[in-house]
Amino acid sequence: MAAGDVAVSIQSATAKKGCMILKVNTKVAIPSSVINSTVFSISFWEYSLGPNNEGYIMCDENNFANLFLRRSGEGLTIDGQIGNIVFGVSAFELPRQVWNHIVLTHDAAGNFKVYANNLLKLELAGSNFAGLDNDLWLGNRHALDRDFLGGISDLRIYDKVLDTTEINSLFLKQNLLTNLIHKYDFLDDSYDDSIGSADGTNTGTYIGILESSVTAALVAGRTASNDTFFMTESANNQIITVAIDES
Amino acid sequence: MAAGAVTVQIVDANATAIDAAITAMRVTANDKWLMCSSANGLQVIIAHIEEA
Repeated sequence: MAAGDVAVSIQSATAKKGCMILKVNTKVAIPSSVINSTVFSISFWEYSLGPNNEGYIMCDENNFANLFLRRSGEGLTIDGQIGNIVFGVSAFELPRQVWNHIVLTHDAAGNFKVYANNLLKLELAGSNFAGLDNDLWLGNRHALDRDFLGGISDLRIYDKVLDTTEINSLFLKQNLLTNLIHKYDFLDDSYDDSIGSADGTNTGTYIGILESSVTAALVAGRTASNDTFFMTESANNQIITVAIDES
Repeated sequence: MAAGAVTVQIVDANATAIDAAITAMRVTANDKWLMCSSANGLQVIIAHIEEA
């Protein structure tokens, strides 16, 4: 490198937001204390690589009980269970290999709804769900034998039943903070949650923009103390760093 | 830490978090800084390059 040389580095990830790819026997655990009442909403984005059958997006048991959502039918459909209410195989279909926004709402009377990509897909009543039985695992069930293959991103838990206006704002990737009690955005290397209690054991692999990757790009670009640097986000979750050598 | 050392933090896009990160990262008056938004504006990436 000599004065005037320019080094450009682009750090990118496959997600619009930070995400993780869950591989064999991985999961992220959310403390059971996060949902301890009947009234809550869960919002998240998911990207299924498919075509695995019975890939658990989230589950709080060793098997199918109390609360779970999964990909079934060769990964083409979403089904699950809330409390004692099972919504069976092929409850509704969602495309694979695209990011889908899913919201689950549950009220004090046991009514629950599932939205996908801003559309109401499921509305059922009679659930006896009253809180998580165990830690909520993302990407697997507690037996670790039903791996979800894909990404889960921007998981948010609210202590209210989100209305359609609020769900639309989340679908538009707005940062809805009212009644937000827990958020995992999967963006930090350390993967600490920013709201709520401490993480459980997390064994997912993160492919979002990492602090370490941006650091490496800048370290590689610097030659002298008077070098000039630029940094910007170009495509979603893609960071460009530029270093001009002035040694 | 020495001249050329790089520190990067990704923090939520609010004044408190940004203030705390920059305060923790700063070493000297000659340090260089970069900052850009990420995660659809929900977070910011702050890069610090220490210069003696």
